[in-house]
Amino acid sequence: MRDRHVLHLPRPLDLQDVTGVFGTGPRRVTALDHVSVAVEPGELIAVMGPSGSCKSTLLNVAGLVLAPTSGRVLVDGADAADLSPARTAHLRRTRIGLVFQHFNLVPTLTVGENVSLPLELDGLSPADCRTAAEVALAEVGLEGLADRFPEEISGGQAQRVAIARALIGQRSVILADEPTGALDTATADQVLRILRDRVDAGAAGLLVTHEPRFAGWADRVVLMRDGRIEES
Amino acid sequence: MSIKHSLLALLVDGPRSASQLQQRFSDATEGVWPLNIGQVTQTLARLERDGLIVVDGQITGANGHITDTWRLTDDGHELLARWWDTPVQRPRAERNELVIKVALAAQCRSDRLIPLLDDQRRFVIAELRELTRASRGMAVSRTADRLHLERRIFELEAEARWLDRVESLTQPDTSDSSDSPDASAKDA
Repeated sequence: MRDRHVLHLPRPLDLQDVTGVFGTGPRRVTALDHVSVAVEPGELIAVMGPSGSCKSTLLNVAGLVLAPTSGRVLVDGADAADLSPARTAHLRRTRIGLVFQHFNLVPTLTVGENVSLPLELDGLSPADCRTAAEVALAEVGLEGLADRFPEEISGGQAQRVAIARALIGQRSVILADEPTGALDTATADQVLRILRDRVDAGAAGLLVTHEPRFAGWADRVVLMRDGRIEES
Repeated sequence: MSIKHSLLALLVDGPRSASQLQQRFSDATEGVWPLNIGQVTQTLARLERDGLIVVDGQITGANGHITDTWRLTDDGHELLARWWDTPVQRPRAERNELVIKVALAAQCRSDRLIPLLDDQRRFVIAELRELTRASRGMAVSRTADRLHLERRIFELEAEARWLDRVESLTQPDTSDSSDSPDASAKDA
């Protein structure tokens, strides 16, 4: 792990005393209760806990998909609360990569187009998008698959495509929500190895998993229960 | 681990001396389970006594000593075949300290139960992290050290899942009817 403080660089991801109260009336739920998590570059933190402990909510707040009720979410030092919705969306698109259990690839786009989608949304030329997608696919061991469609590749390959998409560009944060849930153990190990390599290369990672085996890939494990977090 | 069956298995493709068997065992298991020469010679003596092996001949070892070589008898082949065909059973009535500890906490110290489960989880995950780190440098093949490590990972994973399951179960009824006045009256 690099010493970010010596370089006076902000942490890629820093959740400070975050509380999230969602819903109204009888459905009002305190999903996050004064949660603080800081992830350094090169650090992978696994979040574990029983069903309903709001692990995915934590990831959605960290990914700027959900705004917290109170507390601060800092991405590369930028506080999302200080930004306009458009700037928040830009920060999310350029700095944060999200990986889900069910890959969430767009079926009508090719693998290459899926991977370069975030860059395309930022106005990069089609040729540059194509080049960036090929580089990203090569990094996850999927050279030559750019022109295939999601239905033409295996589940393990689809998850690697999702990781390539999550990491394309200058992303400093990778958030993964049960990324191995739909995969067999051997394929899941490959996916974790890629995630781990990318984190080792300098990204900050937050991995939600209920699989103890895969939490073993993390530098730290935090346990969540009833919206509260405790160190492991 | 069954040294007896392991030595029979190593004799199946030809006669060997005690030190050759020790070396073959060490090669096959990559030193995961060290076996000293005393254990090998004692086991060979028992196998001979039981009619499972016989002396085949003699060789001169690297140290110049003359030593016996051993081969399987028909009974030895038969016992070995049965071993390959029989699934390995684990004892069912194992007195597991963790199960006893959790059961006692559930009955007597319910306030300690969740912290106990969390402490155990942390312990399990710490070891899982250590093993995962070790596995990254290993080939993904059926070598003895990889098999041993994967086995331990799955055991720890099972324990972590068991801890989750325990947490999801309801608290037992801890009211002891034998302590109640009604129960005393009935006994009287």
